[in-house]
Amino acid sequence: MNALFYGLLTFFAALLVHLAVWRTRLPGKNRAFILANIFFWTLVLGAVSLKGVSSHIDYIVLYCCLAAAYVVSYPAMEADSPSLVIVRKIAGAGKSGLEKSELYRTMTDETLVAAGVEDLLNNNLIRIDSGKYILTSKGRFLAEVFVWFRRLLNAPKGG
Amino acid sequence: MGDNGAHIFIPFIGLAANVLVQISVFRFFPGTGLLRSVFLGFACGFLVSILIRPDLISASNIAIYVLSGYCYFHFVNMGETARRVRILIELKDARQGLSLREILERYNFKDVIERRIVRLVNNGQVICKGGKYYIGNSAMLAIAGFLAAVKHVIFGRMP
Repeated sequence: MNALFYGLLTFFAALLVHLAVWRTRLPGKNRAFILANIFFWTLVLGAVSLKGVSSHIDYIVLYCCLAAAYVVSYPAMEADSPSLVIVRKIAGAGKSGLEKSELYRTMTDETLVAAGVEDLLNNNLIRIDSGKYILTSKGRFLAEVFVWFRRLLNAPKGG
Repeated sequence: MGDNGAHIFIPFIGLAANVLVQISVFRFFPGTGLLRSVFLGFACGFLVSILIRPDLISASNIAIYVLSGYCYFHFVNMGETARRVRILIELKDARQGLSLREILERYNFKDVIERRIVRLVNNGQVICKGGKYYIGNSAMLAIAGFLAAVKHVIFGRMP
């Protein structure tokens, strides 16, 4: 029970630091990296100051899982998920319903694809060379991981 | 806990079972659907975690399993739905890189909308009647509302 309590406590401490930083001055680039750093250094501080806690290893592992769950969820909070935008638009139309043409009218290549390209550029996953976008080594690694996993599932390209 | 820390491995053995079941079910019974295979894998992994050493199960162990299962779900979901992952894969397939126009020839706003509409309809979250779309069940709407509230707390703005 100690591990659960202190794990949650440290996690909420990290969340407070994250909120304070984001609300004071939203980082322009590498937000996920900065976020991971906040969680890492909070863990270091927590692990040192709570050394006496019983089941210390449980505390550390639990905290890492909480932090990982938050960090992987973060991009969905930052960007507007198209599925949720569609659902909100359909809900907004109410009983009269919504035609697909209305979605085509309001959701564009600019917001749905070009914004993603820009984000990949900001996170150093791709670079631009003579007007063409090319994967960086980080981006290639990530692409390989997903291609390998989709092959394992025997699933086509997602998106 | 008197087990030399071995209990910490239990949730990860559960996670391994989760991954194995999810991949096997989706690969060999594709009709099951991705979401159902994820739920099935999660349930099997949870059972393995509980049954492997019931005497060593603790609240933190269960939390670690749930959180790591959530991270795995997120990974699977990214491969299936993330636009940025799809763009990375398109760029990986093109050795010389792609211009924005070439990316849009392969993946554009119509693909993004179409795929999501199909998924939402297949999952019963949206209903199509007479060429118009209506809300099917409120689960996605609740998620959209929750994310909007979280976004408001973190960024101080509503989507």
